[in-house]
Amino acid sequence: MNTVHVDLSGVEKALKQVSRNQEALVQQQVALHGAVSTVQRNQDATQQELLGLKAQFVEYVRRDELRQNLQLAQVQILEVRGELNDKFGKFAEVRELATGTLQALDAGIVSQGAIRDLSEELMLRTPGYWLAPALIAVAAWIRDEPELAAKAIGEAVRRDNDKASLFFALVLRRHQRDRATAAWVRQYAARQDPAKLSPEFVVVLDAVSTGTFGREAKPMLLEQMSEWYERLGQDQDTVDRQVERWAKMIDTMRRPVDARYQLLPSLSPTWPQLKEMFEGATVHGATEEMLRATFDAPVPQSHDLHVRVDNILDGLVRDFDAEEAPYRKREAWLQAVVNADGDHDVAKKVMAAEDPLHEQTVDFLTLLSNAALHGDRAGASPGTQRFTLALARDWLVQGAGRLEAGNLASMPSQVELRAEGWTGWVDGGTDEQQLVGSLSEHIDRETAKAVSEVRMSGAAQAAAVFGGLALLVALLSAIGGASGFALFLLLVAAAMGIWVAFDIRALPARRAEIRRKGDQRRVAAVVRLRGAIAELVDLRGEWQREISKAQSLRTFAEGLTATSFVATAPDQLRGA
Amino acid sequence: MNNRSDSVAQLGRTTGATGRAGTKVLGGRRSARYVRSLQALDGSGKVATADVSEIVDAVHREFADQFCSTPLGIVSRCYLGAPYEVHTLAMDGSIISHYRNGEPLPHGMDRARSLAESETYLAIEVYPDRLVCVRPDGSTVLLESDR
Repeated sequence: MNTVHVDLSGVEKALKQVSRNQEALVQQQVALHGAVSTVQRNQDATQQELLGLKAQFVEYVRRDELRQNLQLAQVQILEVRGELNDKFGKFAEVRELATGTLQALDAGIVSQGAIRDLSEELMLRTPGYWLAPALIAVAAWIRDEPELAAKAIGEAVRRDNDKASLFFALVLRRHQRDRATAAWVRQYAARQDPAKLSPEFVVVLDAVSTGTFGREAKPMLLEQMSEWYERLGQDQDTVDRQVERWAKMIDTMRRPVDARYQLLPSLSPTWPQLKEMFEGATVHGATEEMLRATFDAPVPQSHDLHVRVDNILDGLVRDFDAEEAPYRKREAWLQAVVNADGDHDVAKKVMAAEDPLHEQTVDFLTLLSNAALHGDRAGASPGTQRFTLALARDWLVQGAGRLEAGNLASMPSQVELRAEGWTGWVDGGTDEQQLVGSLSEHIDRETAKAVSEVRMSGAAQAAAVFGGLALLVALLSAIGGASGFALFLLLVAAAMGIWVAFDIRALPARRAEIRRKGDQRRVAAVVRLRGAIAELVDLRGEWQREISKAQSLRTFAEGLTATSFVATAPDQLRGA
Repeated sequence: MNNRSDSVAQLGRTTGATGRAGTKVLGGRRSARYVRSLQALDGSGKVATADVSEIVDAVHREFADQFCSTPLGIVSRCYLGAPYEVHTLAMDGSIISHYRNGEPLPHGMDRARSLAESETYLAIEVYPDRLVCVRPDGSTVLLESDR
């Protein structure tokens, strides 16, 4: 029997080397895992930064667009004003002459000849303009030349019957010729169709509310207007249009939601609805503030009848010439763009809300709304604005009521929250703890799944199989006598076994790493979720405060009565 | 179901035409008596059938006295508590029904639901072509139903 001496020291050494290498490999594997996680983190961070950069870029482009719009509007508004001046500048001279003439006559320091010369010259320079013959008529009347006065009146009335009638009514009122004033006003009012009033009717409102018309004209006009008000009020479509306009106007008073809301917008797909609902609720408080400011501000009201009449005359000759209307409309649009800092969308909304302001003829109720909504831009004095606001209060209340109802109906029945692939809903009966629990469970489940997926690598599994096979064949070979081959296979099996053992030893470390990350993720997600829920509670509280102001607005508006805003003429005050 | 919606649509057309002139009155303030009846409806879980018909009579009286058209039904917040959300008073059959969360309302009354749930309104009257929200003080808001 031959004895085979095998020196196993080399094999042992080799095995030790293999085991050292394996250990090193495991360490490298853990390090690699760490590195991969770092890369993943970096990638996430990079993605976040990219998204942030994109948002900044979009914001930049938007700002740039707004800046350009603003600059363009600022330039164009100057152009339009220039054009207005070029085309209608000569009218301005006549206009200045109107009150100028009357005041000069009061003072008695300008010769009648000078007034005549100037008014006749302007008559030649402004063909077709109604005010020039009206001024000649005034000058002739003062010089006591009835023939010329009658002719000039005829010409002024032919050019613009309505404006000339009002002009003469006011001039006569200035000299307290009340009966003559009433005659002019009566024939003016009789001609008016309450469904098609021209915007200068605001002058009549102004004269009534400031008490500028005399004893006879004022009650007559008040009666006529209340008859129109009743009649048009029966027409539901006309009333609906007013309510719709008030609703639109009130809706432009939205205040933006506070920028401190950060988590809710990023976690909730319902955010746009919530934002819309909150902003829609802010209009009631803003409207009440606007109303209170209008009614609390002092109304500058002169005790001198001449000054009151002159203010109204000034408005009549300045504000309502139809030829200028397209330019004025363009100017208003550019001004709206400037006011909105270049934002065309906001400007369009504003213009849509004040559309009837630029129409050639409007019905009486729309005219009241115009004066109430836009005050001086509709040619109404602060006093007239109060008077008309009080007349329009029912439409305001209905419009605000519609907005309130729409806002209440828009409340989402539940708010969706999304985080880390989890979706939850908040409704009336939701408990914060339940939501947090659900989110935690979701993340823990995902972590557990990731942990369970950590198992031997494919190569290690193959090594285990091959190692097993090698061991089996080695045993068979040893039995068969091929001891050298058996030994070789034994070594192979041992090497494979060691590899597998090290691979298995590395698993707990990897699992622990995944669990640690899972915990971090859960803590961060729960913090964000709690933050979002807290913001939702805050937002709801704020919304409730805002929408409850609808009641206070209603109470305030319903307390307004029109007649208390009609002033008495200075010459009719007790003791005057 | 189809028959029902057809008849509602038809009703909408017929009252729509005559209803235009009546809308102003529809939007008027409701009487204190009517408001009291609606408030009685709130606790209707305990109201006997005789009382229900009394309430319905009060509603009919209100509309016969002052207004041109009678609502299809009235929807208001249910005080029975969860799971009930709203109840309806249908004017034809004069029945009070209570509805749970998410349960749809019949006769086109579903559009009034979210408004009825609000505490701001005592009840919502449902007409074929509009809704009228009645506040606890009797004042109203008229809404076109294409809202």
